[in-house]
Amino acid sequence: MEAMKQHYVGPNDTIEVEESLLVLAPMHAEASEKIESKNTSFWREAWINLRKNKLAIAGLVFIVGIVIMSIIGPYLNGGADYAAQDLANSSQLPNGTDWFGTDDIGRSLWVRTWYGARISLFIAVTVAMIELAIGTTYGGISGFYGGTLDIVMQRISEIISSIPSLVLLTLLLVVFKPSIPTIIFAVSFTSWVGMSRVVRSQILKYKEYEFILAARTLGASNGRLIFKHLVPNVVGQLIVVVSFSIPSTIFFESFLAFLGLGLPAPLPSLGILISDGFKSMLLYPHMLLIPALVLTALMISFNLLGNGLRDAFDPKMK
Amino acid sequence: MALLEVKDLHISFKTNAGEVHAVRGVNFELNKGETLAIVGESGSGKSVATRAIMGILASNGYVKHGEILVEGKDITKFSKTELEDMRGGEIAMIFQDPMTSLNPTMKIGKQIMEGIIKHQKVSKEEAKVKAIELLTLVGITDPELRFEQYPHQFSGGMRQRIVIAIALGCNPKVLIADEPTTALDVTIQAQILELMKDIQKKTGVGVIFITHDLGVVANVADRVAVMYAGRLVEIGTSNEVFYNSQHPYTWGLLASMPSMDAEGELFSIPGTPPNLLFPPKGDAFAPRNQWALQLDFEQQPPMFQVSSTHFAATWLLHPAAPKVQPPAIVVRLRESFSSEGGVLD
Amino acid sequence: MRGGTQVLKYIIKRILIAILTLWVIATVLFGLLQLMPGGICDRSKLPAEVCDNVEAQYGLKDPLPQQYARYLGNLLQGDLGTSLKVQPSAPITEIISSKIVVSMSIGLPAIIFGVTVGLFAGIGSALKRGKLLDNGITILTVLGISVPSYVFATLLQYFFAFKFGLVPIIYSSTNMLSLVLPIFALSMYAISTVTRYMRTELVEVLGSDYILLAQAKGLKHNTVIWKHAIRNALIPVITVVGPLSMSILTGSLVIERIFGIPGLGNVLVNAINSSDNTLTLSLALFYAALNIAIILVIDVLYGVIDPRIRLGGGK
Repeated sequence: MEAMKQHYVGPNDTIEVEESLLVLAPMHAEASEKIESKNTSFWREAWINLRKNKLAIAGLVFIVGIVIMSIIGPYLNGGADYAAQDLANSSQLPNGTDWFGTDDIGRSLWVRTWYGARISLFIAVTVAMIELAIGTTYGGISGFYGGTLDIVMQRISEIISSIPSLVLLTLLLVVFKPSIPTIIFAVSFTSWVGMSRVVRSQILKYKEYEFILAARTLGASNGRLIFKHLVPNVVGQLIVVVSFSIPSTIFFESFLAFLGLGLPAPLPSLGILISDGFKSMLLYPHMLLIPALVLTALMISFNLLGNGLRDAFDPKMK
Repeated sequence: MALLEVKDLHISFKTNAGEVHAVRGVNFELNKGETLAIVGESGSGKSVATRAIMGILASNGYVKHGEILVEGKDITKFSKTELEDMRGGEIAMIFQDPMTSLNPTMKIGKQIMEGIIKHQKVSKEEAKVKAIELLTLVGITDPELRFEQYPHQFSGGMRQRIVIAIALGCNPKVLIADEPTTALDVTIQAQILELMKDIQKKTGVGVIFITHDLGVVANVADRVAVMYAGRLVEIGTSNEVFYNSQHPYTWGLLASMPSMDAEGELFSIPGTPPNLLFPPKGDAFAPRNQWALQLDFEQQPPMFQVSSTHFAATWLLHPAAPKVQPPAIVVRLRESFSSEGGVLD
Repeated sequence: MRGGTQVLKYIIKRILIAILTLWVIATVLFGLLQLMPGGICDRSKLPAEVCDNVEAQYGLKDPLPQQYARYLGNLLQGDLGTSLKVQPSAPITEIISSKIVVSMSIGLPAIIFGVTVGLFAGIGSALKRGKLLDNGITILTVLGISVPSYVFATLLQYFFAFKFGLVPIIYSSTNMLSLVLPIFALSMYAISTVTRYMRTELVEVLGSDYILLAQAKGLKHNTVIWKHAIRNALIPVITVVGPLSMSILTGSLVIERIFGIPGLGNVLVNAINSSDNTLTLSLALFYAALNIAIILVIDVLYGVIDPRIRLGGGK
């Protein structure tokens, strides 16, 4: 501490120093500049930020685990037929031959759970892709052309979002009868609006960029700026929206199943399994608990990953 | 006794990356009715030091060592309640951006009254009368009407006047102005500076003026302290720091002022300030200093006395140091200083 | 006052947009009704001529434009038609008004409980940022947002009602205790959302310059927190209450099924399962209207509370 103290030296004080060092030193500024302006790319920085978030990484690991199980899981415990019944062996608790037990008509819950996870994830990912396509196009056109078109398009998306999405979903499935394609269609129909809003606001921001750039007449470096700043930012935002869209689709699907608007038997999905399990919950709680646990783990993991991604792409949002 | 005395102040911040030594041993004092300007670039610790004086450091910041004496009492040892009474009453503060420093959902009259009621111990009715007087004092027309309005109904310059009125309402002995004109248009800047000078004359309040702009300093300050990387590098009267500067960092600041050196290329200090996670062992400015001595890299220079009021922390002032040629602008300023016989006060 | 007329203009504009939106939705729903499978005579064993008579009686044989005009006319008079299957020939408005009371008896407490707990949790979390309390609350929030309310509800039901027998398993209009689990299950999502929002807003406000100025004035810590910080942080939180109320209302679709509550959600599920199309669509229209009304009220409330919007003049 003493050494850090800044003491005063008057004209009559003497101060002892290594006088040989009282000579001009060569300029070091370049060195200090180099250290400070180490350039990390957008993606690298986002990855570094994400890696620091232990919860998000845990979410990612769980997601990867469940995805792998949804692919290979059904083949690990006996036959891979989700519809194969064995009435003599119904309503079994988890045991050595049927790892997750069996349901009331003797179907293997292990097979059905992982197959159900596969279907739920398939629906969710497909919806996310459709949402991405429609949302990007719609939001892009709306933001890019602006003016009356923008106002009309905004009004349309407002009307769609003013019907509670669960009610709208229910209606669509009453009309079109539940199946994998109709569920995908119905969920996409209600959920693209959020994505289009994100894209639109990004496009508006981009237009401002372009304006500033034109004013500065930077010319050639225009493209560089768009690719270096705009595209990663937009893609980053879209990844975040997708990572929240997947759990919400999984939730919608299971919600519909619970209302009796799920996939037709014997197809399993996490929602169908939970809905079926609910019916025999009091006698065989495992029929409800196992799929509910997988669904909950999936939802929590995606939410944790989504939060992590949002913070990673936009650290100041923390 | 000085109104305010800062002795060997060290302030650190705890961060995930480690301890940031934001202020590393600062000494200065402020007398009654005096204006002290603290100059430095962002990150030099000037705002941090004044926030410590107010007791409003961010929650991860703390005074590591040193004393802050307000009329002889060390506020670093104050309790929470003592600090609350001191804030505003002894020392009030004006912030950089008037657009964000007023509560957007509270009428400005009420915001002024809060401080008056707390520190002048008067009734609501009296406080209102005083608040309206203050609005008039800071140059707001129609004060009765304006009293009932919200911040968004005022322009930036008007809002800064209101912030000043809020500070004055507390009847402070010291007023800290943290870059009060940086966020304003140039024409408005001049008005606010005039207003502050005027108020100082009328109330005799001591002012600490924080800025990165030496041009502003010349206008308002009696004394100037230059800060770099958490330490004072030079302190003296305005005239001394302007016309007889000693530290190469001060030279850099003077040379990079656009209006000072109309002819020739605009000077800019190369490089960037050091990372205060790992403070350098010698003079922090040495790596960017074209007049750096080898000793600057090895050992912290002490404050060499230039005159009874003027000190600078550079080994160049050591009797055995080589004589160097400062930038042209500094030479010219020095010449005008001696031609007027060094008597500028 | 200039401000007053501005607010009025704003409200009128918002109401007009709401009416327009409702009209569009009503029209789309009318279109959907034509597409829906299962008319009056499906699954019934009525002879063809009786069927024809019934359809004629309900005007289903008229040309579409005429049906549409009658539909809109009835809507304007607040007539949603009659239920065909769930409660044959009962006016739908009566079904709604009697069932909404039951739904509200769990929905309203759930929203009040959820918002209150959420606000305090959010405030606590923001004030103790980075501390143990904050981390604990944040983890609970993620759980609350991720775990679907019906999973939560079934778990509550299994453990607290079935295993431990603390409360009744099934709803009963005479036993207040039977409301505890449904209310708690419904409010879970609201608690988490409000907590998250309040925390974000308050953290932002606490870092703002005007809080620093309020401190610099020497105001007491509590005055700064309550009069300056929390007041300002609360305003934007109002905006989530609208969507939340709606999600609680639609969330009760499944909660009502789990606990056997004879509310509006239950009616909708029955209407879907028995293909009572008029009832299904009327309920959808009702939900949409309710949603629009809630959003409208919240927006106007927001405008009235925030002087920046009330008095105009932007930021």
